[in-house]
Amino acid sequence: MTYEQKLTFQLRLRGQTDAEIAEILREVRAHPLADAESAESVFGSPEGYAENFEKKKRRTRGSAIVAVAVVIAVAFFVGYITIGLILRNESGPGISDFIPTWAVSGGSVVFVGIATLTGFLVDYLRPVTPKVGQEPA
Amino acid sequence: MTSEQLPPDVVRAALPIAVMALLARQPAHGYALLARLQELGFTRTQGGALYPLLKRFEDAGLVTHEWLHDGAGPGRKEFALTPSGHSELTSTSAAWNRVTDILTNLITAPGKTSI
Repeated sequence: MTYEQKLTFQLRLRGQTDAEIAEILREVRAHPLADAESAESVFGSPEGYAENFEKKKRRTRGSAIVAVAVVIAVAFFVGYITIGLILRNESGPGISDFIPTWAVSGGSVVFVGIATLTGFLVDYLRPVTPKVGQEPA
Repeated sequence: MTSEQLPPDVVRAALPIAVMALLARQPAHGYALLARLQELGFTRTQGGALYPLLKRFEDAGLVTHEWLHDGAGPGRKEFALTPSGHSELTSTSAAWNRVTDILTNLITAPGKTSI
């Protein structure tokens, strides 16, 4: 990963908008570097540099994906329990005869895990829009 | 005075005033500001401290910027102090001078100042 990609991810975690991130990256690119210098030697580590910018209460796209997945998993699990309770009083087979409880709970955990990984990758790999160098709208 | 003689806490407190004072003289881009600051003794100040400070100034309406393109390449981001920035510099400088006077009195005549 390049310095700019790492910085982008760290800035996203601090709630900076893509337009703000693009502007910060543009500053990094515009700053002339001497022969012995690198972006990291001038601006510091991506984590440290990002910490100098205000942390905002703004949900990243990745964290939104995780939040939606958690809501879906909880709703699915609650629905499964509710249907199970309703069918328990009837003489026929229970819902756990079709879908075992361990499969529902395990599936929910795996689903949230996959969503978490997806959310991380979305925040980590997604390029900044507008592209660096373009004037933000 | 060299940077080794300037403790980090003092540099942290003085840097915003120094940057505003430099921009009050003339608009400048980040690289030129850094070079000038380092000439003045802020030798450990790097882009990692300067650009976020300028961003905070911009968010507070103290500084404005313009991208200048004089050929190929990413261009230069030139910063200028706004009228609010000039007012802020005046009031902050006055506060800094008051603190300097207090400390000078304490240090040069410690026995004459009652606590």
